[in-house]
Amino acid sequence: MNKFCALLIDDEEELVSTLTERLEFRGIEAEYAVSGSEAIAKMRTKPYDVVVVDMKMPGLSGLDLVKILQKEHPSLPIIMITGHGAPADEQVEIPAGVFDYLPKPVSIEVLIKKMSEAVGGKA
Amino acid sequence: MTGDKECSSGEHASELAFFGAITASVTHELNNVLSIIDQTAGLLEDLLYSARQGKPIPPEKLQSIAAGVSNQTARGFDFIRRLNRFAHSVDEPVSEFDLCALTDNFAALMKRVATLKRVELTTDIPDAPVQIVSCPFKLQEALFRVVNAFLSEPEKGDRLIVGCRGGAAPEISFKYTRSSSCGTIEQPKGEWEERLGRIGWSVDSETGVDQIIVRFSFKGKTDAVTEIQE
Repeated sequence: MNKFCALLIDDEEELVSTLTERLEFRGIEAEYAVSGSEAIAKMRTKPYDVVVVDMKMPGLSGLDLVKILQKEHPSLPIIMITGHGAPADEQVEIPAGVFDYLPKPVSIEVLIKKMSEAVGGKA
Repeated sequence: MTGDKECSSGEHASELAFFGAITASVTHELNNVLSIIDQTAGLLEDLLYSARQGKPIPPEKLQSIAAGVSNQTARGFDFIRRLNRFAHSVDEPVSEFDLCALTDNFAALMKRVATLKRVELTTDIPDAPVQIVSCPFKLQEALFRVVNAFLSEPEKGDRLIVGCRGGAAPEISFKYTRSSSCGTIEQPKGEWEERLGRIGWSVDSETGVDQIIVRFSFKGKTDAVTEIQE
């Protein structure tokens, strides 16, 4: 049983809700938000051990959200999801302090492994 | 790309950049669609595993999953159809086409780009076709430049209406309304305006307090259009 709580943020609700359901199926406590502002609101009311942020979102972008989260929750591990491949392929730079990035499509096993590494032994 | 022998390397670079930007945007959307279908397949495997352990799958859950996959495939096919239509606009440098269909397709391809920039893009396009003879690819490149200029410094709540009309003077219009004060927006001009003229179009704009309107008017100069084919 994994002992951490994750927040997944992506504007593609069907994707993020399915990922959340699959994580819960594996005993991981997970919630999701479909916008940066919703994520910020959730994080002000509940502590999470790791967050997974999609890079491209309308409104507050993934990169903008990461900056805010790093300011409000400096020790929180953040994993970013990129559209296709390496960030360089999309001509974006992963901000310093981000634990790692994963390209879409995300394998559930890889996501869990990465989150477990990010929370450092809580798995 | 358009078969225009007089096309400069700068024009080719600009056309390729435009083609690349549209392709990147659509493939990003297709990646999202396939990612959802991929995760849904994974969820079905999880549910099957659970069923084998003695926990039955509720029929309504399967119904909801099937509906989700169906919606995503429809969404994916729509992107592919629109990208395919766009790609075929390069087939002939000059052709007869429906201006309304072209504008609608262009707006649909740009919608996600606008949404990511927090701009609401809507259309005002009549159902009746407006047949014209021009260069569809170069026209869309010009439209893309205008949209890009609008989206360069957007503010949350900005709105863009892409319109089209037929009649004696076919026209495509962009009405960009800022949520606050009006900013400076780059307009097609100089060499670019001359390039539009070569395919039978002219461009003008009106700037208001919180609104900018850019109009592309078709002049139907078929002799000028023919020049491109030579």
